[in-house]
Parts: sequence; C-alpha cells; structure tokens
Amino acid sequence: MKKNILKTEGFKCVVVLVLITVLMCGLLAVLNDVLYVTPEERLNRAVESVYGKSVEAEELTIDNERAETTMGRVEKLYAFTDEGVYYELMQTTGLNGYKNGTVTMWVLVCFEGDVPVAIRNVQVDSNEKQTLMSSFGSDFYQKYTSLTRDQLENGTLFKTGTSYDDESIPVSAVTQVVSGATRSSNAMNNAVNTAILYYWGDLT
Amino acid sequence: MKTDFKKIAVDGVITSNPTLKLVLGTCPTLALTTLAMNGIGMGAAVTFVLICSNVFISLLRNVIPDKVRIPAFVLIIATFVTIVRLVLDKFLPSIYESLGLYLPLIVVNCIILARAESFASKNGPLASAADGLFMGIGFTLALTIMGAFREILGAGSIFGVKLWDFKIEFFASSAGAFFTYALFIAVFGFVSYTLHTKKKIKNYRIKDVSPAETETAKEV
Repeated sequence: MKKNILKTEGFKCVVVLVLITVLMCGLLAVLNDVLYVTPEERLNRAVESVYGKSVEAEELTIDNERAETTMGRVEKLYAFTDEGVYYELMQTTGLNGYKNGTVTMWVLVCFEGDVPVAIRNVQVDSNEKQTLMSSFGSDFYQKYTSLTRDQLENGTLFKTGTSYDDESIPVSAVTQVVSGATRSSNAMNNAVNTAILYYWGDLT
Repeated sequence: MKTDFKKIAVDGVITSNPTLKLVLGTCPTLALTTLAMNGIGMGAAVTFVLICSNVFISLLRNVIPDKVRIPAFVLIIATFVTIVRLVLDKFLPSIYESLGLYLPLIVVNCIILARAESFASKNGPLASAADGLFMGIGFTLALTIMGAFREILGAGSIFGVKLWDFKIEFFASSAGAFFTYALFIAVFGFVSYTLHTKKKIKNYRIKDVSPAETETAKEV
C-alpha cells in the first residue's frame, strides 16, 4: 500500500523545522531593522572613544598612492577641528599578524596648521584571527603616543622584538615587547606604522 | 501538577548552581571573570537567553518531534543570542566589546541547552521561565563574585573603581582564572556539604523515636 508522505514523521520534522526557521528569521529581520547601528553612529562612537568626547567629523578622500604599503592599508580617513586644533582620525589595518591575521586600529593624529605633528591616541577597532589580545596593557598603547615630532620626522617606526637591546633592530625603531602575543603586536605595529608612513612619508 | 517555585529557585542558585555545582559554561567563566562588570554583563545576557529560550521551547514542546528537538532548540537559542547581540551593540557597546567572542558563543553554552533538554521540554512555560531566571541568577552571581574577587586582587579595583595600588597580577592571568575557579568550587562545595550535613543531623534529632524502639536499640 502506498504510504501517504504527508502523514510521515519525516515530513512533520521538516515542516516543524522550516516553520521555526521562518518564524525566527522574521523576528530577527524586524529586530535587525529596529536595532541597526548606522555607520554614522559607529563613527561617532569611534571618535568619542579615541578623542574622549563627541565631535562632528567629516570623511576625507584617501591618497591611494600612500594608502597601501607592505605593512598595511588605510581604510578610512576622517577630519575634525576642536578648540582650534585640527585632527585627522585614520582607520588602518595592519598585516602579518598571528596566522596571517590583521588588526584594525584607529589612529588620531593632531596637526599644527597643515603639518602633522603627533600621534595623539591609538585604539584597537577590530581584529581577525588574533589571539591573546587581552595581553596588551595600557603601557603597550602608550608607546604609540610617546614619539616626539622629531622622531616621527626622522623615520621612527614600531617593531616587535624579543629584547630592547636586540642589535638587529634599526636605531630608528621603537621595540614593543609583549610576552605571548608577539604576532598580534606585529599587526598592531604595522597598523600604526601604516599611519606614520602615510603622514611622514615612506621611511623604509 | 503544582509548580514548586521555591525548589526551582534554590536549585538554580544553590543546589544545582550551573557554574559552581554543575561546572557548566566554564569557557566564559574562566575568560571573562577578570572584571566584576563582565560577570554582570555575561550573566544578564545568559539569563535573557535562558528565560526566552526556555519559554519558547516549553510552548513548542508538544509540537517539536523528538527526532529534531536538538536542531530546533539550537535554532531557537541562536535566535535569542543574536537578539542579545543586536541589543547590546545598539545600547551598550562597551559591554558588547568587552564580552567580544564569548557573546556569540552563548549559543553553545551547555547551561542553556541542558536546561532546554532537561527542564523546558518537560515543563510548562511559567515553570520554565522561573527555571531560566534562577539558573541565570545563579550563573550571574557566581561570575560576578568571581569577577569581583579577581578584580580586587588582580587590578586593585572593584567595578572599575580604584581601591588601592596593590595588585597581584597572577589573579588577572589565565592561571589565576583556573586557580580562582578551583578555589570557589572548593569553598562552595565545602559550605554546601556542611550545611547539608547539619540539616540532616538536625532532622534526625527532631525525629520522634518511640520508647520501644529505644529499648530495642539498647538491646542490639
């Protein structure tokens, strides 16, 4: 006797799973629309987080010739003026991290007139394939803002090493030592170096 | 059958505490308890998912065929985890970032699937909601207390407020997480065992023993 497929348990299983999926997808579609975070909102958050207060920033066009290096690439560039000082906020992605992963960072550069003079702040935005990101303390990030204008103009870059007195490291490099997260810190250094190269020229 | 809410509450928070008694959800417990605030954030997220998925699964328990119950449960749990992610990203971005990878991992948290399988699929929506709530409270309390302990010793602060400069970095490390977890399980186990034993002795003492039984006992 031919079995009615509509009355089989297999058919019931498929129907129930499909119905649950459709119901859940509908719920998520509505909520995704309601709770969507706009790119403007994300930018405001980034500015507030990196600069310390909320200011209106405008997007700038990136100079494509300097935007991509062997160390990383410039993703986005924004500018704002606050209390008479002009700032540029750059989103850069550093390459060569752990498992060839990347780290994307925000780099805030302050200007005197038209001339970039210092890295005011640096913050991690996101990362791919990286582990041990929690190993980075505030001391590590403070190093990025410690460079003087002379150091930046004379070609100082950041480099990951195992020791501060490693002879293979160029004199112009500031060595970052992070136990257990060397590859991730390499990608971070590359992200900041990409910003330095963008503003202060190709110094390699 | 009448629902014993008191038993559900005591089970969730103490007797079957998911973190300290059942040792479930160890991944976020070890990774996120560096700060007390992380414990509250993770606990609140898990509690929301537990309550919602328990209620939903309980409502559909007679509709979902037994053979596809696990994929159906995972679908429902994943939906509520995604909702938590959307809400946190929109309204509490700092907590969203601090919980990071562990937020989507709630989908595979053993506590949620275990409660769906062992409780929600066999009980009514109200009892399932209560189970989710108290299991969530038990999880949140364990994570927050552990987080506070590690934050005080490892960072010299509590809920981000600086207390003193003294700190033992070991407690902020991964090894410190394992040590703290083991310490809390041991203390919790010792306290609950002691209380349980005392209760048993007390019950034994107040039990009515007839004179005839006493005589028999003496002869033996």
